[in-house]
Amino acid sequence: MGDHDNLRELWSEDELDTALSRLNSAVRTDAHALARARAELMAAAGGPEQGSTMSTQTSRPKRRWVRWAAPAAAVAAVVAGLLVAQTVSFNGNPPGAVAAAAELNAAADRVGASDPPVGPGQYRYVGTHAWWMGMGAPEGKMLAVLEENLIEQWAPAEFDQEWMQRRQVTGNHKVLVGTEEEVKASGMLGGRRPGQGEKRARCGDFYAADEGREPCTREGAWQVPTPAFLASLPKDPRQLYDRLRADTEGRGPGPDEEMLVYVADVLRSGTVPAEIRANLYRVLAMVPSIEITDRAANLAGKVGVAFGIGDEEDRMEIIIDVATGQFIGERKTAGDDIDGIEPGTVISFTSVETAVVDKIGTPPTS
Amino acid sequence: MTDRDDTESDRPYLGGPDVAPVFGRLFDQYAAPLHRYLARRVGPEIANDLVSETFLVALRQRDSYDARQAVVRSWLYGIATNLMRRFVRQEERALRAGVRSLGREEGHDEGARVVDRVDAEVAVRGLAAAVADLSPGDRDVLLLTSWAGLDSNEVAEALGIPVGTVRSRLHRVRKSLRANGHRQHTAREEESHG
Repeated sequence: MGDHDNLRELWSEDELDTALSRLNSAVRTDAHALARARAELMAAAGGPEQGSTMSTQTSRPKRRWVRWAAPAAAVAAVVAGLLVAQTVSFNGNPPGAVAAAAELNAAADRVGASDPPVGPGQYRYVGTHAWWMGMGAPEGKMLAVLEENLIEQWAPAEFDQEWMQRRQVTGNHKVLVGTEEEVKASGMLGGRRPGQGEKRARCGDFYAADEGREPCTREGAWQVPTPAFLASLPKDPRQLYDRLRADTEGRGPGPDEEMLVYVADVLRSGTVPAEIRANLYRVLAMVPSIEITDRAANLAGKVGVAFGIGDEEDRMEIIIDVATGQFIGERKTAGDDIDGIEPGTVISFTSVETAVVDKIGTPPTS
Repeated sequence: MTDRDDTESDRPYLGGPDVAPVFGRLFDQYAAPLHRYLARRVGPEIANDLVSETFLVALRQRDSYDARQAVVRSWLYGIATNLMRRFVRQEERALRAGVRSLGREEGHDEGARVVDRVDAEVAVRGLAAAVADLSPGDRDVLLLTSWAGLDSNEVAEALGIPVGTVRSRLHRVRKSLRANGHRQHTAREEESHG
C-alpha cells in the first residue's frame, strides 16, 4: 500500500460508501434459523422454552468452533475441558485403524469390575490439568496461547451430598502463535474465567445458584452424568452404541466425532463407574472411523494410547492407559483449516488424575 | 442493584439469577442485525450458526461482560468477530470469487441506465477483491463500521483495541480502498477505450 498519496484522483468518500453498501447486500435473513437460535438460547438459559438436556455450564455447543470463541478480542477461548503440558509429544505413530477396536476392547477388559470405593466421609478426587487455547488479535495480529488451568473436584460418597470444585489458572502457558512478549502485552494471560475460584454445592450442581435453581434439579445428560442418567444407559454395548448414536444425532461436526466427544464429556466427569466406563470403550470400538492416532501420547508425563477422530479442521482424541483401562485425558490437534495455526499443533489437552481422599478441598498426597 | 435499569439499556445487568428474560431481550434486539452483518461476511448458512453460538457463548460467559467497559452490542459483536475468525479464508475466497458481491436484480437499480449498472457492478467487484486483500483486523474495523454500524468506540470495545487505533486504521483502510476504486475505474476505461 505504498504510493497512494501520489494518486491525484481517488474515489470520493461517498463513492466508497456507496460501493460498500452494495457489497454483499443481497443476503437474506432466515427467520426460521433465528427462531431456532432463540429457542436454543432460551433452553440453555433455563427459560420457559426449555426442553433440551442442555445446561448452561456443562453442555457443549453443537459446533466445536465455539470452544475457541472468546468473549472479547483479547480474551481467551475456553470450552471443553482439555489439558496439556510443555512436554506434549505428538509423534505421529502410524495409525492403526483396525487395531483401535482391538485395543479399546482390551482396555475395556482391563478396567476391572469396580473402582476403589469411596467410604462414608471420603471423597473421590478428580484433578484435571487443562491446557486451553486462547486466541485473539488485539493489535490486528493473530495471537494464540495455551494456558494451564487446574480444575479439582471432590465428589462425596453419596451423590446428593456436598461437592466442591476449585478452578484456577496456574500461570503456566505455551505460546502457539506470536511471541512471548506480544502475548504478555496483549493481556490475554491470566484473564478471569467464568467459574474460577471455589464452589460448593450438593449434587455437584455448582451453577444452580447462578441459574436461580435449587441444587440437584439438573436433568441428567452425557454432560451431566447424574446417577439416574447413568442408570438409564443400556448395559449391553451394542444397545449403548445405539443410544449414543441417537443422542448425538444431528449434532456436532460429524456423527462419529460427536460420539467420541460425548464419551469424553461423560468420562471427563471422573464419576463414571468402572462397568460403564468399560462399556463406553467397547462402544468406541464400534465407531467406524476411530483410529489409534498416537501409541505414546504424553499428557504432562502421563503416557497412553490416543484414540482419535477428526477432519480437516481438527482432530479430537481421548487418551487411555491401556494397561489399566484408566482414562487419562483428552487432546485436540489442529488440522489444516485453522487460521494462523500450524497443522498438527496441539491446541488443547487435559491430564486427569483420580484418587480417593479423606477431606474435601484437600488433594491427594502422592 | 435496585436502581439499575436493565430494560432497554445498552449496558444491561447480566448477572442476575433470572437470565432467560434478559437474554431473550438481548436476542430480540440484536440477533437480526447481527445475522445480517455476519451473513454479508460469511454467508447466511454460517451466519445462522454464528448467531446461535454468539448468544450461547455470551450466556456462558456473561460473567465476563463488564458494563463499565463496553455497551452490550460491542461485546456481542466482539464475540461474533472471534467466532468468525475461523472463516477468514472462506470469506476471502468468496470475496475474490464474487459469489455474494452484488444485490443483483433486487430492484434497487430500477431506472438506472444499463451502463451505470455495469459500472457499479465492476466497482463493487473491484471493491470485493480489495476487501479480500485487507488483513483480517483491518477488515473487521472497516466492516464493523460500515456494515454493522458501530461507531469507533464500539469497534474499539468489540475488538479490544484503543479507539485511536480504530480511527487511524479506518482512515488508512478507507484511503487505500478509495485509491483502489480509482485504479479499477482507470483500468476499465483503458480496457474499453484502448
